[in-house]
Amino acid sequence: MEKSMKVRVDREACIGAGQCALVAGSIFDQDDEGLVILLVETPGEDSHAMARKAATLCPAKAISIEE
Amino acid sequence: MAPARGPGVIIAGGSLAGFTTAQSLRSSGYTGRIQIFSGEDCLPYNRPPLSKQILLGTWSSEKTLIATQELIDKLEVEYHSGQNVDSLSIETQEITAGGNQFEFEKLVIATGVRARQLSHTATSKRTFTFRTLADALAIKGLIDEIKTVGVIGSGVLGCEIASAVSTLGKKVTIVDQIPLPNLPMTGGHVSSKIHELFIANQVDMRMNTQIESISEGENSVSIELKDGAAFEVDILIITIGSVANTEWLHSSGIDISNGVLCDAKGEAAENIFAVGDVARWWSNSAGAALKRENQSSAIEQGLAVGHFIATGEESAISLPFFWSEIFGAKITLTGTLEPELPFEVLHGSIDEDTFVGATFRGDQMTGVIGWNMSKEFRQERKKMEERANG
Repeated sequence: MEKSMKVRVDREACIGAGQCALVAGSIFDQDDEGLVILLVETPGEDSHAMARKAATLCPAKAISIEE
Repeated sequence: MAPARGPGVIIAGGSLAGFTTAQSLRSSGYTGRIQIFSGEDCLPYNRPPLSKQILLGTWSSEKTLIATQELIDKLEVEYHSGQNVDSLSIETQEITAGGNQFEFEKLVIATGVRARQLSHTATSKRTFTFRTLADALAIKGLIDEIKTVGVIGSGVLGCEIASAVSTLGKKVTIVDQIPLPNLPMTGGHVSSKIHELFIANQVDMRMNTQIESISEGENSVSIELKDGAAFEVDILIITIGSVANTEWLHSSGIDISNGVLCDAKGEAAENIFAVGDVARWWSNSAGAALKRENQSSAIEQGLAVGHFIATGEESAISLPFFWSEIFGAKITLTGTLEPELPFEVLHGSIDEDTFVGATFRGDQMTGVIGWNMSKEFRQERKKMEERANG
């Protein structure tokens, strides 16, 4: 069975560093202010590692992941 | 998968860099034992909000946590909170903590730094340093009963604290021996801009002077300056830099002259690594070992060392990223603005409070800063990073 993952972003905590869009551009984007936009809330299993990496790299700790 | 037995990895320090190392070990496939020893008596938390949202009261302290007990258990990490590591023996590959010996296969030093104290006074009821969540909450707890705040030091922490408490309506006085405030890696290029921002917000700037004496009363602190001026505040916050927590390594033989000296992959000695604020990593591009006390470096070093221990593969470390918010001005910086190089405005204008600027060595951008200008900052940063990587 495929493992499920739920990604949440906190735009209030986001400081627009853009690390997420850099390492996981298929899941995260940035608006004009640089704030995070979540493109995919439940990424497929082949994207789990990069979603985790984006969460770890986020300096504002604005990405949380539920597995 | 049941973790393999054996001593495994010990991480001394349970803050951002230490915890990130543990996460990275697991995500890179490490199945051995991981133990974290943290001197603080709480779960790992994030420091940047302390001088911003926590002081302002817009976030609860729970929102600063970077790990729940559930996550720690899921990662199969043994997290010993409230336990400092007391010493290291390289010969026997052991550390001592709380009077007990713990053997390791790999040790990751992530003990961080602590706030530097003024020689004049120890922190007490009305005088604070600022490093931990407990420090921030202690000041926050007094905030409704105070009207005036003194801040000694005008680095990033002093600037952010002064901005936060001033926003809350407190009368703030900043004292520093340097002529203008200075943010890390900015090479002084935005210092006069920050100084103007404080003046415009009625902060009393006592620059270019030193402390003669500090005397603490029951409900206030009196400060006398070397230039003869004197003033009184309800509380005094001291932000004059940091001291690496390396005392426990004194007899280990590791170079701790200014933090723990490491090679470009974070190795300080065989089987021993250091990450985060306590570490001074060799930088091939700078040709020197640099102590980078910032959030993005702590994260990247933790990721790199965890991955290296688990797989033997080295990771590239990106240029440091730094951000701050002072009186609503959103400041972002990648790389380093060099003090001796001219500052070039690439977009917007300094007078209009919206700009992107950089310093160049030859045609190579050394660092780029954005001031209330996110989109253009990201465009320039991308160009710089592409060049640095290509």
